[in-house]
Amino acid sequence: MARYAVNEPPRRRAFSPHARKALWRTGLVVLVMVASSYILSNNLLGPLGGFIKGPQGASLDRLTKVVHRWGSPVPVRDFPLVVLVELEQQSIQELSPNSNVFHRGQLARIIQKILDYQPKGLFLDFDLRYPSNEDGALSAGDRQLLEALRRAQVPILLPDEQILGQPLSSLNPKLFAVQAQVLYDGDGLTRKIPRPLPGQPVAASLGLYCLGLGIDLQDGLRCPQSVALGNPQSDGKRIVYREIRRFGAHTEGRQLWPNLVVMGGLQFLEGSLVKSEQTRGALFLVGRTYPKADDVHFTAIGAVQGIDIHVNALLTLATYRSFSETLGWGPVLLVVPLVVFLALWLTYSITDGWLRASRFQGFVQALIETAVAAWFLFLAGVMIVQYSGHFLDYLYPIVAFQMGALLLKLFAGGKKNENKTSDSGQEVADKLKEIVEGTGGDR
Amino acid sequence: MAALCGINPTGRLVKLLAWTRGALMQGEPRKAAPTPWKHLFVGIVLVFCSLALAEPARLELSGKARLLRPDQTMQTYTRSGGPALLLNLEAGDRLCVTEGQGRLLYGVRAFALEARGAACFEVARPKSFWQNLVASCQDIGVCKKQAEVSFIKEAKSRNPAGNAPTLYLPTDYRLGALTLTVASGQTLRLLNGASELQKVEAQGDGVFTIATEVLRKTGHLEVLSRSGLVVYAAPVQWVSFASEVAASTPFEAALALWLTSEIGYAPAAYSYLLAAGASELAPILEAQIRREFRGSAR
Repeated sequence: MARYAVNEPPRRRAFSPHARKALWRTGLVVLVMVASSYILSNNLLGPLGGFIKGPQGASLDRLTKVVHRWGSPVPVRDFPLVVLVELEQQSIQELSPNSNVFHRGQLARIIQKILDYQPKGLFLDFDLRYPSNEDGALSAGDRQLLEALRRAQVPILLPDEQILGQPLSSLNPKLFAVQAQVLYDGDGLTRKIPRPLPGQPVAASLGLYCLGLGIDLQDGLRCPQSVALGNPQSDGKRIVYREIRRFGAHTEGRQLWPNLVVMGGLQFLEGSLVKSEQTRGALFLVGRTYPKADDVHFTAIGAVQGIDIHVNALLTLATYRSFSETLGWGPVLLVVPLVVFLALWLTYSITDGWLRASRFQGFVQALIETAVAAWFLFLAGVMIVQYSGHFLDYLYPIVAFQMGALLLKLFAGGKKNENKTSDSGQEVADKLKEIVEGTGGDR
Repeated sequence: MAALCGINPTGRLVKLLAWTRGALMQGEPRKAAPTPWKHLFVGIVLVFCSLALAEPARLELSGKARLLRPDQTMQTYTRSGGPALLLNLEAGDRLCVTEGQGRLLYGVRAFALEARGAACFEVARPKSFWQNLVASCQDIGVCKKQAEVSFIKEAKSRNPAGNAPTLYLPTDYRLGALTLTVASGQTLRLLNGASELQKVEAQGDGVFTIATEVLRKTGHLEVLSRSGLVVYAAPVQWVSFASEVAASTPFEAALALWLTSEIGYAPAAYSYLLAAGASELAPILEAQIRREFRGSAR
């Protein structure tokens, strides 16, 4: 700080030198963000776009890893309670022992009990296309299941167009086929809720979300249209994962999604869910979580059961509202520069201010400035995800900041405020090294 | 704030907020309405208090119950007749119904507790801010655990499962102890199924002396590094060893085992060499064992 005062008299400036430096670099970051956004949205780089998308995807996964352990904000107003009835080891061993498919009669019991709560919607994550017996004959349990589904007066979502050999529509108009498969990215990870395509069933989570808002699924277009905002070119909305907590026997605790209740099928049948105003009109999901290997998928937070992905997807939609993957241009141009500016200001206040007076100034300047800035930007990203649910896609400022920092070094313009004059190739190499090391934590 | 909020019932929360607002108003009597900053402050207080008070576990007791608080204090409650006794539980509380029955409500979930059946219930403690912070730090690879995980992955990629040698021992092994040298490691565990038979500490750098008696009952052994990583893990196989060499001395027994060229026999051969005092051959075999005995095998 003292050195700055010697070089440039402070009276001429309205801002502190750190704020000016942060402002100037924020401008650069925004410029890079806008340029990269334009380049990527118009696919000007062709297959080389992966070089920007790849590291950006890794950064977003790191955001997800941080956020998944923290409590979620409350969902959209009046969104109903979400109840996950899971068929875990104990329930399956008690209700359907020695059977590959879950006993259909027991499933009918669970459905019947759920219908007592007058739910707004129910999703059954089971393969129910064929009868239990290999010869195709309906078992007693199959008949009970068909009867329960035939009499249902509430929307029931199923993963397939047919049930036990019959078309859904012939059984009950309240039965809807949804897309229950998860969407894999190129690296085998599940990150997104599939975007609804014309003529195809909506994703299970989106169907339940519409039912929770009171939107009828019988008009096939209304549900996707009412929520499908945002970038039409994206594959879908990113799922904000939260850990779904399982507690031991006779133990209960709080879930990270505030309006989620998780219970075993056996407990549910024993009347563990209270009948009250809160549970009437809830959304129910039923699925197996045992054996664990049967329906496990890989995500940024590790291996997750399929039904848990549906729950996370539904509650992402309910909590973070619009089906958009990116912020609109207005918020991007207002919020992002502000966040970047604050992060950089804080960085330069530390590196150029507090630490510059120390004898390690050279070390600080050369090595940790970018890393500190990247970490502040990362924390800013965590806050954005946590409270708005928006991922900034390739606009994610760390990448832009690093590209900006590289540009500064290459064109030497960024050195004018610093007392160093050399801009040798070695410095560029060092900068590249520190950029890589600053963000190289991804596996 | 936590002390104020953490006390308990909802009624008290309302009073607290009323008090907070009142105090703010008294502090600045000239202003008719609170400024947006005060709204913000009250909002923050509300959020923190609602978080602190959001433990909706309530017991309706008809009988006798024992409550263990997180600070290990124990309280007993009894209701022998009349309406049920209402009792609020907080995070970390563990309650057991010892007589009669109780109905426990946690949010929208109900649990029936009976002295003769499912008698106990525990309100899980939420993870603390610090625990979450450390876990997140480990998740994104800044803290130690992630580093360990990546090390294990690297080790596995060098030594895929099944590559590590199994420890073979001839059934007629005559020495009282086996000397096992592995690449590194601090602790050796001898296991039989899930039960641990013995734990042996290293005498030098990765040098373990194991009693033959215990080894005969051992099904599996594993060597752990100082930080708890598994350096070497493999089953122990006792083999009925037939050799053309009629071994009458430890040195001959060592040579007979060495002739098999099977690395699994090397520790037994090495032990024989040590017993025979073969100071030239033993270090050669030791170096080979140290090179090979790493990774894990099933």
